[in-house]
Amino acid sequence: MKKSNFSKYLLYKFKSHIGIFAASIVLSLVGFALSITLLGIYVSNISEYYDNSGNMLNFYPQWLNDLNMAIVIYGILGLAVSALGLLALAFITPILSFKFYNNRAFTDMIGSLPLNYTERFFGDFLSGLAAVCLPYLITVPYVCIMSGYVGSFGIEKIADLPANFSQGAFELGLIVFSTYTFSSLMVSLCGKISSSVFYTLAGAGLIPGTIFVYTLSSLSGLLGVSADVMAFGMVHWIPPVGLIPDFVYFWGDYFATMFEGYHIIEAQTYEYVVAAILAVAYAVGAYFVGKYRKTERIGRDLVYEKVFPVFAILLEALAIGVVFCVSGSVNFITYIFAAVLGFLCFIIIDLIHTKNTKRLLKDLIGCAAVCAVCLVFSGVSISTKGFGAEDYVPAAEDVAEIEVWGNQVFIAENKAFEYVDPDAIEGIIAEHKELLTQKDKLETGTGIEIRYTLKNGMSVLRSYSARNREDQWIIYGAAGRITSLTQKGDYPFGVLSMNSSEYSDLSFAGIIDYDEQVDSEHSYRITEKFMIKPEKTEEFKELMLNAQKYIAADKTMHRDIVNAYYTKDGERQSEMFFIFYEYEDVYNFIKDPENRITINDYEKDPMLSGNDKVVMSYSFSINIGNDRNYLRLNVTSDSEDPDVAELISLCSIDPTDCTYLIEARRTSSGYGNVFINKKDEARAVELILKLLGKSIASKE
Amino acid sequence: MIKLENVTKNFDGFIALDNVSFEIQKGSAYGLLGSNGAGKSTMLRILTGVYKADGGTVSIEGASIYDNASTKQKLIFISDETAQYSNMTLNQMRKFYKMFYPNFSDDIFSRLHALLGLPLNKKTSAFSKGMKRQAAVICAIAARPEYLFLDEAFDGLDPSMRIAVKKMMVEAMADSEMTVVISSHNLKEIEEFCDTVGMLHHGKMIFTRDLYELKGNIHKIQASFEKEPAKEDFPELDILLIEHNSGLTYIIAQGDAEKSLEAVKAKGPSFCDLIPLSLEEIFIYEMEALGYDKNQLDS
Repeated sequence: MKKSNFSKYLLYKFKSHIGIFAASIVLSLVGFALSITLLGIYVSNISEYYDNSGNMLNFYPQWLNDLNMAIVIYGILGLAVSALGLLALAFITPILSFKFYNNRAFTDMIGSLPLNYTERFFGDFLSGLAAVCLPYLITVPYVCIMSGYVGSFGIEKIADLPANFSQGAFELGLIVFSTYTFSSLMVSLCGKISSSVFYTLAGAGLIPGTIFVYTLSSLSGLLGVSADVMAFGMVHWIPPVGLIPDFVYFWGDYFATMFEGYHIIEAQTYEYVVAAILAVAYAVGAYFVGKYRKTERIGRDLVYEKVFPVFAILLEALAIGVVFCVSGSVNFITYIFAAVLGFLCFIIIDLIHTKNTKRLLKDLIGCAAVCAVCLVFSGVSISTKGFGAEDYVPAAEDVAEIEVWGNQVFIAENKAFEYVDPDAIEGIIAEHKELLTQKDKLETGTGIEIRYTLKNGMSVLRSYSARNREDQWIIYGAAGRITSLTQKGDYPFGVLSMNSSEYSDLSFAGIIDYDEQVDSEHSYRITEKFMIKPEKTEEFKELMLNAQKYIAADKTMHRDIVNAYYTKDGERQSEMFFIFYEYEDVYNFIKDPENRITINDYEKDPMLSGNDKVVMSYSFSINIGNDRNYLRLNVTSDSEDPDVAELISLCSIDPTDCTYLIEARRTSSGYGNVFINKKDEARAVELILKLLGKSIASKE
Repeated sequence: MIKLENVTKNFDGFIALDNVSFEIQKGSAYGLLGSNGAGKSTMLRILTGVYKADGGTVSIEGASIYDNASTKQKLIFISDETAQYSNMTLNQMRKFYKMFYPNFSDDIFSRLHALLGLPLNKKTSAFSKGMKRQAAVICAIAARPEYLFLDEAFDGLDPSMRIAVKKMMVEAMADSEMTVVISSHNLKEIEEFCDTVGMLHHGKMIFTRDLYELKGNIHKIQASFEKEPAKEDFPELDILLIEHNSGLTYIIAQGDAEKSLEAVKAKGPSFCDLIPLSLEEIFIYEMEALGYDKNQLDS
């Protein structure tokens, strides 16, 4: 079959990009996919580096000596290098592919070839796009399969990757594609390589940057408004730069405990759609800009002279916005400094571009007008607290959906609750307004987060925490009432059993006092069934219900009330929450022997198959260490080792007068704590050390 | 046939081509003359579809050129730039042109390549400018286009290579009736190769004419008179210029040379002879006759 000139040209151009294609293969497959694979295989092993509170330890260089951790770290670095490399390729390739636009020799050669404009454009565009993106297109399904994202199609997970790795891989693909199309557009506007580089970088950053700084300066310091989240949210839909923070934070979220990062933003699906449409629009723009550009203007910075004022104005506006953003206030000095910086930026770029002082004088009129608009806007937006954003609560009829989340609220669930029911939406709006009546007791924080998705597609996010601990009840009260509005989600009781379930649901609770460390930890079982005297249960119930006001977010400042069991659908469920030290009533109540029944009196817990001896336990994890690190020794009750059998015989589930806590883990479900009484302490320590010695010797 | 009618090209206020009209007959060798900045390269870029004319019409065999792949299939443009070939070897250049021009002849390429002895598999970035131009020209000739456009075709070639390249082109024209359009500011090159010439100056086509007709129409007579004659003394002659130097009178006139010589002899000179004119002189006199200052034309 005879090939058309277009296909010949496409092939010729693709061959000319073979170096880029090779680099893209290395970055996409060897870099990105391999890094993902390494992370997937080894990331589960880093659980060895939790401290005894369950927190991931900080990064220590010596971990590099550990093969697993080293591979994980190199995997992350590989991921970063691959992403940056692909971005660089997507940025540079259009400049090379559209050489026709910035090299007169190529203009003469390519322009006179037997091709029409459309054939030439798509030859240049598609060849570069294929060189940059084809290898990555293979990576995305690979990551999807690895992370089990396509599990619904019967493909099993290959490695231990979270499903949302697929989202990250998709997001990077969108960033790379949009960078390529945006660069193509800017190259079509420019007539030189240097100006293509400059205007692509400037064009990519100026619009989202300007929106970002004005949003940030308008909303900074407002109660309930996470200005940075809002500012990032305002530019989510502007690819490629608007997507990059989300991508960075996405990975930062996954490795949050390692790098102490946090996921402050998350692009919505419709924002991806808008971003994808814009990315395609850049390509369409590149086609038409190229079609109508005057070939003879090659060698100029911009072949469309009228585009320049847009850049100059945006640069000036950005400079002014940055000053207000940094200052955060409106005063005379800020105004003067912002105006001076704005003028300077405008004058410098105008002189560089026009090289003509006479023209500059004319342009300064426009510069002054832009400056005035920016100053007025900044002044008004900051003075009016983001045009009333602090007190803004959407009207119920405008809201399509509300998500509620909070790290002090939904501890057990660790996910947002979604409400679409009109009555629930009205109820949440009322609670939100109620919260705003107590502004003096609140501050911006993640105690409770309310995200409205409006019917027009916009999103409104407000986040509050109590300013003082004694005001926590404001947050919890609101959260409790909000969660009682609907029974949606996997957890029918809403927030916590303490808040919204019946007290009678509680069958078991324990308290761990983190004042003291593992070697002296106290744990108390509290159940009306087998620990609290029947006549004391009503008093205890009151104490527990009152405790909801003192639930803490900060795990280092609390006592855990752990394993608060309840029954759901005949299954035993548990959850964990924390109470501030200040609230000692429950703690003191439990410690008082007058309130508790003796060990011989309690009923058998159906979860436990024994009484004072731990015959119910099938395996142990014995943790020994200090506050930074610990060793974990796993022993099983079916071990033939007589030392294990003797150690088990010393264990008791009676916490009275105990010294050691041993977490007894059942193989099939649940776990409980067992103890070693003081009378057996010396022998237990001897046995544990002996077992540890054996374990170390066997590993050696 | 190539036809231009009222073609204008404006570079942001600067008029590069001003209402230019002319025709180039198929199979001819057309020389486009003009000083630097006259508009020659712009004209060639319009003729090859690189630039779009702001006004007027440009056509090859009745079809427009700009953004018309089928028309452009008939032509090849070798510009005065050579940087586009820097990353290619001569062999790759051959493949490139062969890819787009189905008439490409490997035999012709091999013959021309053997004649010039250029390295086949060495990057042309290592070539001299003249070698790059040779490489481009042999590829263009081997592609056997119907129309070949060369901007400053012989620039950078040494005398022996100029002869070789001209020979190649003459043979190609003889073989395939290829129309060649060459721009140059070197009148001697054009004189040796072209049969038709056009003169561009400040974007205007001053004239376009058959070279032999042009040469035959203008002549220089050297004579010695006792008294220096004035132009008015020869009313029967179409005199472009009359000069006196060291007792000799030089008359530049248009029309039949023999008749002019007879008319001068009739005035009784002690010495009279017809002197051949170079093309450069013919142009200078022709354009002076059209009202252009000689010094202005050089600029």
